[in-house]
Amino acid sequence: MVRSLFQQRVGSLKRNWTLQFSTLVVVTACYLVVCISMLLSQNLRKILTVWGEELQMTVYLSENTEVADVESLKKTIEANPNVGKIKFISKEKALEDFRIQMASYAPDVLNEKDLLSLIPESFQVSLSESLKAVDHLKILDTLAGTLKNEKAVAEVSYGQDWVQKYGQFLYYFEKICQALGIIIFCAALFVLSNVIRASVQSRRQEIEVLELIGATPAMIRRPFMVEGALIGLASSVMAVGAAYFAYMNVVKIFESELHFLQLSQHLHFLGIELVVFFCLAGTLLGALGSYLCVLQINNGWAARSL
Amino acid sequence: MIEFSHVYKTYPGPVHALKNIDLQIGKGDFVFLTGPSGAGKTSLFKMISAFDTSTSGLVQVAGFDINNLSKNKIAEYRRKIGVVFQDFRLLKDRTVFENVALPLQIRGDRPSVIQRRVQEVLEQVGLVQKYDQFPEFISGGEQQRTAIARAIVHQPGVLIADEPTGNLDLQLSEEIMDLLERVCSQGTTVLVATHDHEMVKRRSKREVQLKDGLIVGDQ
Repeated sequence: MVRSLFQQRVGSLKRNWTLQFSTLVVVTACYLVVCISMLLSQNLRKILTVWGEELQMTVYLSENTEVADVESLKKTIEANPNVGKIKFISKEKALEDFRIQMASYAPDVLNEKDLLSLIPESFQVSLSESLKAVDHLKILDTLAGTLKNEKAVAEVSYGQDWVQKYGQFLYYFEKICQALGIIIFCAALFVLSNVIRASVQSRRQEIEVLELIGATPAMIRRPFMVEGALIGLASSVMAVGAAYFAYMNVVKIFESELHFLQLSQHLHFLGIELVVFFCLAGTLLGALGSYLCVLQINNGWAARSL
Repeated sequence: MIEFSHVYKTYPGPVHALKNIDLQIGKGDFVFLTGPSGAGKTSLFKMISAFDTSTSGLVQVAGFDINNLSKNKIAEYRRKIGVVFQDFRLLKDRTVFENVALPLQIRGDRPSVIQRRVQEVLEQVGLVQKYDQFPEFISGGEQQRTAIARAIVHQPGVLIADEPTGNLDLQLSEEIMDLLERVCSQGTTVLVATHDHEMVKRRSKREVQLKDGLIVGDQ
């Protein structure tokens, strides 16, 4: 039964190959736009998240803090589930780092004997990698508020201005991605439904004759749905293939001409789960589009043409 | 086989397409339905082929009450009748054989049964040699014979033909009418709508005349 239905539809695809080919091309183009949008969105998010991973918080300790208080503070910070890494920076280490950084800018300052007493001890705190970049600002704010109340803490610094701007940028970026995603999806759906409708309309006579000789509505719709699903599957597979080809070329450009950006290692193609989901959704959409179009015309056409 | 009892059909307007139609056609009868345009022939055909229902009255064909058919019953009913049109209604992208085989495929017959039955019908209508041709490559008469073959391949109890010779010359028209008479002689009830009064006279069959939605003659 399934084999016969499949053979029948392949036969139909062969008979109407010019129409089906043009449908296939347009549907593939629609799916390709959606696929590339997903790819762009995923990689931009990844790059922005990588930038966000460099965010750190410095917790400066009060003068003459007891070792026990320092240990207690460390435990408090480590106990926070949003914290990834924590590193203690002693006065000596901080001074050494300062000297290395300032050596070429202000060599005279480095000879100051009181410099060591001016530099406080601190903890450098990184956030957990599993956190979403868009949540970083909120988490850092909350964490800073908590730590400021600790007796051993003199000051908390995490580049508030930069983090705030970065957080806002991420927020708007996410919103724009969502809005564009909806617009692209609707546009693709509109084109897809029109192409399928045109394809089904052009075979109105076939539907009409089938009605006349006693085919049930389900009998008439089923082959069109199988055909729509086949076109949807072929289009989504071709769209993924074309997007992969484009992706490989972009990666090559980032590895050669744009190597200085060091972004190529952060670029990734859609995961296998997403590719499978995309192909399944494409197949389903093709079948559904055909079903809805046939549903509109498989009801009274033959009557009007009698 | 076909029974209309006090049938009225009114379209919005109101347009009274059929008025108090009483008509009985028995099994194996051959009947011509004549009348000018707008007489109600199309409304009558729509009811017999279950594409419309009457406003009031009873329409019964081959044991089916047309006004009370469910969607699935409509399809089942249409598999028991055959319909032929003036413009043939053949699928252009299928061969003569494939066009004729359609009703049997829909009925779910086995390929071997379809092969044998289509072969028989093509012999009956004289189209065995053209089985693998596409409709646009055969003549108008051959196209109409293909349409008739498709309408009778599943051995329907009733065959309705709407102006089946409207697009054909005199000789081809006679051939088609001979063919329909042969189908009728095998026990199928045949109802033919036509404008061709000369042909009706030559055939000496029962003629039902319609005018303004009324039966004005039955002889």
